[in-house]
Amino acid sequence: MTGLQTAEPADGFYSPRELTYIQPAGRRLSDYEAAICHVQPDVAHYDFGGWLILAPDGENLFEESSTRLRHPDWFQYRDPSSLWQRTYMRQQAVEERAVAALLDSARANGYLADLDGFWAREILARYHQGYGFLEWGLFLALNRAIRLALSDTLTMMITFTAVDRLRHQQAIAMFGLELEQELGGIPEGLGREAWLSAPAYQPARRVVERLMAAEDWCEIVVVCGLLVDPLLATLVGRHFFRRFASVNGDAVTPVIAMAAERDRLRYLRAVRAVVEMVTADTDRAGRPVPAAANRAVLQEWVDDWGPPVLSAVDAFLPVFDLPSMRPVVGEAARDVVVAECGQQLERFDLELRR
Amino acid sequence: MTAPVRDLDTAHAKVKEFAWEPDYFARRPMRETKYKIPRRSKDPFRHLLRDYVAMEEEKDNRQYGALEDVVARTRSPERAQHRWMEVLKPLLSMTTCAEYAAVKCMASLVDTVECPELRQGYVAQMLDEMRHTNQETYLIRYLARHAPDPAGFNSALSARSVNPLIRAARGAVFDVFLNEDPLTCSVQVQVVGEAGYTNAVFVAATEIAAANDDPATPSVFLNIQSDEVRHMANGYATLSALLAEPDNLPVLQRDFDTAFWRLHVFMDNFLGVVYDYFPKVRLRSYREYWEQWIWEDWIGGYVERLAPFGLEVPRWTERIRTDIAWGGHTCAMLAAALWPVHYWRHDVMEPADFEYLEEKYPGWDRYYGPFWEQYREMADPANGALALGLVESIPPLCRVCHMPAVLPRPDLADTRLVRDAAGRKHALCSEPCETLFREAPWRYQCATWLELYDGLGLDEYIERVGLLRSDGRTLVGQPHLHTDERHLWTIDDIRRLGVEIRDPLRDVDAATLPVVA
Repeated sequence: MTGLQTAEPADGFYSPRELTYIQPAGRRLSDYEAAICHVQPDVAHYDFGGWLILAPDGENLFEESSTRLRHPDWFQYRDPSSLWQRTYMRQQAVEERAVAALLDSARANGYLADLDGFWAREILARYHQGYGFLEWGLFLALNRAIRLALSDTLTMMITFTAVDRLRHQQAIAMFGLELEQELGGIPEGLGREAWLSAPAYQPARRVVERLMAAEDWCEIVVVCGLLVDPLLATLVGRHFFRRFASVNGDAVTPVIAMAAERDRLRYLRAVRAVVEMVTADTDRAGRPVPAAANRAVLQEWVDDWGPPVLSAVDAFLPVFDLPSMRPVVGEAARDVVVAECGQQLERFDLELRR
Repeated sequence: MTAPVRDLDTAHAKVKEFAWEPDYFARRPMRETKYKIPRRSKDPFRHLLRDYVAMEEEKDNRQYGALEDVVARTRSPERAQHRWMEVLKPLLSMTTCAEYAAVKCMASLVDTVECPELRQGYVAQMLDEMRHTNQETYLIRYLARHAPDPAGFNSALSARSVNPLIRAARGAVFDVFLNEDPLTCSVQVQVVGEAGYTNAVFVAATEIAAANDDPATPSVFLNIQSDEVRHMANGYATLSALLAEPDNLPVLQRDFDTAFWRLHVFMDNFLGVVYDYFPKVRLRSYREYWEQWIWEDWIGGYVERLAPFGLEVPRWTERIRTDIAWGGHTCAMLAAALWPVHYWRHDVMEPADFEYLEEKYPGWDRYYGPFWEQYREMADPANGALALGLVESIPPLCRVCHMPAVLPRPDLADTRLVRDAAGRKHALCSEPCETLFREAPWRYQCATWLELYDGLGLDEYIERVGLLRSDGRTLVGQPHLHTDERHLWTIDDIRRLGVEIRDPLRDVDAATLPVVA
């Protein structure tokens, strides 16, 4: 071929200038889909012939049996928030800057020293720091689902969610450190003590430890998103810490709580998408989804986990009576979260039963 | 008096206080480890997540800003050396696979390793790996939009899976990042993959890309490499923790030996093709890069520093160093011979390439020169012959590493053919792969590419796996970079030749082979 001239290629050179291996969920391929879809090799999609090297015990890299829920193609999952690393990082950097700036200002203005002593010591140092343990535990539970999840889009969503919990835990820890340094006289370890032995937290700890030991990745994702978050985290994070802090002269805790709440709501939408996917009659390619069997498993999980989570909610209610200023009665807050959670579950014909 | 919050040590100590030993439910890790891990260790990654997200956001802004603004407006990917751009198709599809596997590997480590210091490092790395995955897929899409030839970029993550050579990448950087004791995987990912090979991938490719007028790849790769340095620290912290327990040493040595071999057998041969056959503007040979980054920097600097703790240079290192001279060239020859099944265009070698390769690898001309001379002649479809005919036959693929069982050079290969108790035939490319196979043959059951497609017409294969351009006739792979239609191979040209994919093992009488229990 010596002497041939290289012609300028026609635009596209008989090829689309877009990724062709992804079936977009909408009309056009999104940045989110392009960033993540099919990065995970899969023997049911393109990686024919099986895994090149099995585990020493003969297991495959990914096992359908890692969850009791069934779907013909987990790769069809799309996170409704469409967050990928760049947009996630941008969003969380804004949140983190807001919290860090608030803490800086609070310290600089001597704001923390003005906090009510009982609120700071008994509520923040004890129960708010104790709540950080719950966030850490949820991180560890969700982390397991990262490894086991059967598609890349699910893996990315769960990764961001798990890291969110770690961010929340660190925000609580940093606030605790500020309080210890600014106020003085607060014994170290009150949060740990509360988490490990206070009656208000023991049923919650029981739920979190059980979730940390769970092995079904969908169970972890669903129980966290449809029960623990809407009932326990919402009661404690929103109805107690956020609402009570405001009336007890604490402007910092509500900001930390709201940042976490925003992440929890994003996760709720993401989990709803998982449940919608497994309870649909067919997948996007028209293949049947075992919706009835999946719904039965989901109801089993709700029945199995609902009562202990509700016990955790009930156990925390006495803490509502501790501060001097109380914007809401604990039982009323409980009724709200139970009703809201029930409504969420009803969307999928699931029922929260005592 | 306590230290101010700005004191990173205090802050770090504080955030790590939130782990506890469960009482209500016993928690077993997904995968148990055979290693003993100390309860506390040194913290390799001293960043709070709030600092981490701020840092990464800034890095993202620099990288994506450059790609979306200057690089796109100046249309620079179009002006990059076309030959170099072609090899980014397999290169990026391979690195993406590795990054993603590392996300899940880090999750396994967090699940198994309870040492809070190590866990902090693994979590940050998990986010980093997701970042890199997204950065690289972004680059693939970016190049599908802006590179001279989008074909192959636009199908990179599906085409990689069915490619006879790139499929083997999974054996080096995906399956083995996930399917073992998490600490064994950590040795594979962090100790060998990241500490050993990321400089050879991201730094070397950056230099070469820049020299070949490709500004997009360096903007992504250097950005990634700035994270990899942290990951090497993670690997070192993990190693230090393992070496603190003398009982760990024998298993660690064994994992270390295996990890280096598994990565070498794909990575070195692949990178040899990438760096020695695709740059138009050449800087250094792959062997020179290997000597710098693997031999001097990793073996000489990183590994040998561990000698006082009893860890020895990996078992097959000397052999690997010798094989570097030829393995990449043999793979390049086979890759070129198989050009119709690729999702990139495999260019001819010019006289300057001959001169360079002979200078860098004395003897190259004797062993490989005749092939490349004829390859050039056979690049024109008018001549009606495929370069595949220049090799005696497609060599069998190794059951363990899935690489061609003809490395490092056909006359030096120590390929062995065996059968198992069930009578199934296996090619094993080398003594190390045979060793691995004999230890656990049940782990290596996957059909090779040749077994999967044995008996299929080459034209049928190309159509089945989607290696045609959107005109429905022209092949994605070409044995040159010309775009004049007269010189483009079509499916009709392939069909006319009537070539069949044939597994050479098919004709081997199993009864003549030694049995591996």
